[in-house]
Amino acid sequence: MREDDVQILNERVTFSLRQVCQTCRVDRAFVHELVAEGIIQPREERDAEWYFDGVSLVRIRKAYRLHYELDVNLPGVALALELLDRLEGKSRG
Amino acid sequence: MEYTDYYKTLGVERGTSKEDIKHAYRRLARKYHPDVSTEPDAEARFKEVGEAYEVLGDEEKREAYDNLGANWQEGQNFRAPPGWEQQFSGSRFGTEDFSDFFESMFGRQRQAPRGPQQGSDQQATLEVTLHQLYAREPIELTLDAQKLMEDGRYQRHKKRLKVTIPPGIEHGQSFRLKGQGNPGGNGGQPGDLFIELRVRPDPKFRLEGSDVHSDVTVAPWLAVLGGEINVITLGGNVSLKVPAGSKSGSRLRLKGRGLSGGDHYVTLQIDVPQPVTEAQRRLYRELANLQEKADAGR
Repeated sequence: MREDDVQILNERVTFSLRQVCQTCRVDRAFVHELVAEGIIQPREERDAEWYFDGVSLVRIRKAYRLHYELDVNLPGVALALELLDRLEGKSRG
Repeated sequence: MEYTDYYKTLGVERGTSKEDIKHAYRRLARKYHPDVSTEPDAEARFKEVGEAYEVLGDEEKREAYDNLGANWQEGQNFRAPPGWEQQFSGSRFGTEDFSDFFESMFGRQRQAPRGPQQGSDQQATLEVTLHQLYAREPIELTLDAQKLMEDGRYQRHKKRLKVTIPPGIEHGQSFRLKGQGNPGGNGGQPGDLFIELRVRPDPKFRLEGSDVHSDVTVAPWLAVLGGEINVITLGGNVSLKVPAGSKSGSRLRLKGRGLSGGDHYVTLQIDVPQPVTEAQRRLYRELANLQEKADAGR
């Protein structure tokens, strides 16, 4: 395994919306819905493009799975993720 | 191949109503969903439950499955009945990852792709001890993965992978291994593998990001007079100077002795030893008298 094929998905890495969609295999509309629901937040906006950190990327994948695999609607996904965070003791305040 | 008892998978009787099958599926899907579940084999169980519902939740498929008869046992050697035609196509479930048994009954759930097809991504959890995280030795991970057969079909198999924990990663964070997901079809790129790291609680150390915390018990005279103590860190024993006048709860830092550049913090706990001999008791009394005099003279 090459070192550069390994990437930690934390607050220190940034992905453009295009990269997020490619990596998570979701469409832009889904990411927009998650932002509208307050499930993720873009870290910044540059040249009319959103940028997200690695934590958000992991969250998008989780949200996608919960939404499609458990048939949970987005407010339900938001609630589930919040409760999972709380269980983990990493409340985002 | 082996017969799969889908009713058993969902924990329902044959002849159960469509509604009850749906309820059973929903309940088990929530129980075993890998993002929610704490069960050790959640991922595999979630797939089994999904496959069972793919069949029993669909009237046509359920009827075909029921037509095999009720005498089959889970795990029994199975061959599709003669004249069986694969009349099924399309999948509501959206995954191509079904068992051989399923595929022999209902055919491949995916149309043969014309162009290169990217392999699907995989998700795994890596649970490590604090010592494994510190040592960063490669850890073997077993995944339920797909293998691309010569005829272009996918088959399930147990994939074993040695994973090196990337430096600087913390508990609860994920990392991505590019190209370590399921293989692509028709020369397509493989998918990625996403691994969530979980660090098991340790009886001696607490973790805060890359800093390690531990408690060390010292005698009262050491806290008052100062001195050197031995501290167990992840990298081994280290001697630490305790300054005179330290209090219970005082925190001392061992720089760079935590995880990947983090520090190790020692919290002092002062333990007052119970006197055993008369001489010790006498000295305690003497100390008490001196303290009273000192307080009165203030």
